[in-house]
Amino acid sequence: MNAAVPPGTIESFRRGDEAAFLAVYDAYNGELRSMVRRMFLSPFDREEAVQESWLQIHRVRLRFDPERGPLGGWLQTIAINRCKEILRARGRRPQARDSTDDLDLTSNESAPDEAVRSGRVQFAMATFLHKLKPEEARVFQLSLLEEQSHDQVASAMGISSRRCKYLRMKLLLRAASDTGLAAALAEVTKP
Amino acid sequence: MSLFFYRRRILKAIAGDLPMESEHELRKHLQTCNACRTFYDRVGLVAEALPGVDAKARRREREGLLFALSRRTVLHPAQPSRRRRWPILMAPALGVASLAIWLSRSHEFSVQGGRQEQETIQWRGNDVPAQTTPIRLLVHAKRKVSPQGAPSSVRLIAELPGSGEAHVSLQEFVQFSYRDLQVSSYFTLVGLLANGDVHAMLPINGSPSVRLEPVTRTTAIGPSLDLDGRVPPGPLQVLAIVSTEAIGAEQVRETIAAWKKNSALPKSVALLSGLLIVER
Repeated sequence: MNAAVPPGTIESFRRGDEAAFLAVYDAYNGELRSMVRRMFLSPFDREEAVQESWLQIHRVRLRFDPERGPLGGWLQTIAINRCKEILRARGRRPQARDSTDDLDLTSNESAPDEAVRSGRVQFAMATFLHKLKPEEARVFQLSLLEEQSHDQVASAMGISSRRCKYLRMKLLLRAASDTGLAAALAEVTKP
Repeated sequence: MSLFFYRRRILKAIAGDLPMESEHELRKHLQTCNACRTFYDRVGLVAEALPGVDAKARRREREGLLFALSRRTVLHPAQPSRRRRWPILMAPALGVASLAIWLSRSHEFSVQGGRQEQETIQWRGNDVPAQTTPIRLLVHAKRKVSPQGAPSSVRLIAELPGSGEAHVSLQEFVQFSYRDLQVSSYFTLVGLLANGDVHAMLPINGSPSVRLEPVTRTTAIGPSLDLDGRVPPGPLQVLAIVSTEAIGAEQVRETIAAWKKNSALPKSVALLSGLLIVER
């Protein structure tokens, strides 16, 4: 883990300062999440495992000794152990391919077949958008793909914020129910 | 409440439009309802690939963590139950008394140039000042057989004093080690089973105690142990007995009895305890 936190943050983090804890969270959560992703298939499990890991980190923060090693490695060890505990609690062990011993957390290289997958997603997305009404297609584009707030989408389209929320929920459900799109997206999000 | 009700909430939660309190309640429901969880995962997988939803979810994740932390503080405050509140009320008086006793005694486990740790120490013993840490006990576990021949890793499952209960499987070897020992000492490790039986764990050669040299780095105590066939699955209370002189089986029994009754330990003996949950 290569993230860095401002000087002095680690001591405040150990003392239990909330701002320092959040600074550490912001710096390392991305890498921790990608590591946890490889151990859990289900999004719900992943979210729970990430939160459980951070709660555990918060509980044992006093045990971190900067002289013994970097914060990233310590956080990673706690998260791995917590994930293993969760898996064990469910009566199953991580499979061999879930082994975390050889995780390369620094690598950002894409898999060779990513271009093929992304092409498949683009096609599935275009097919899905084609089935939508113009209003729905625009909300899908602005809200679900372009990360605009309800108010921004509402003002851009001249609809109420409430309707925007409703359409967003409806479109999310439709996207999940669309076999072609769900399969293509699941291929991308699968760990 | 109907499945429809929860599905609506799931969609709102994934879209990031559900209040945090309601989301917390929903998550509790998802822990127990497979149908809703499957639905959550189906929508969640799609949402992860939609940048607009995923970015909002990351922000919600941060808020959710803060919410969980605040709930934890509210739900599990550092308030003991009414029955155990008296030690807190007595603490200032006991503190003054302990300090007076500590100053008046010459103690055998003095810190010799080492760092003094002021963490939550659970030591109790006749001659051990409460503020010092004579030893730290580490428990590691390693799978006997790795799944599909993959290399198995050694994991730290407990560090005593300090950590809570540790889980270990009968499919694992257990290794005890120590560090931060200031003076040379004798060590005995026993496990108390739920039925009251005592299982001698270390040393394994039948002698009551093993001699440990002062070290600061982590050093193994004896070989790794295979608990399978020796202890049944369930809780195993581990008692580490550290003494400045070699002790016999009789003193080990006395120490265990003193621990059970919460009475004074034999002279020059210090005790460190932890709970192992042994799983199949």
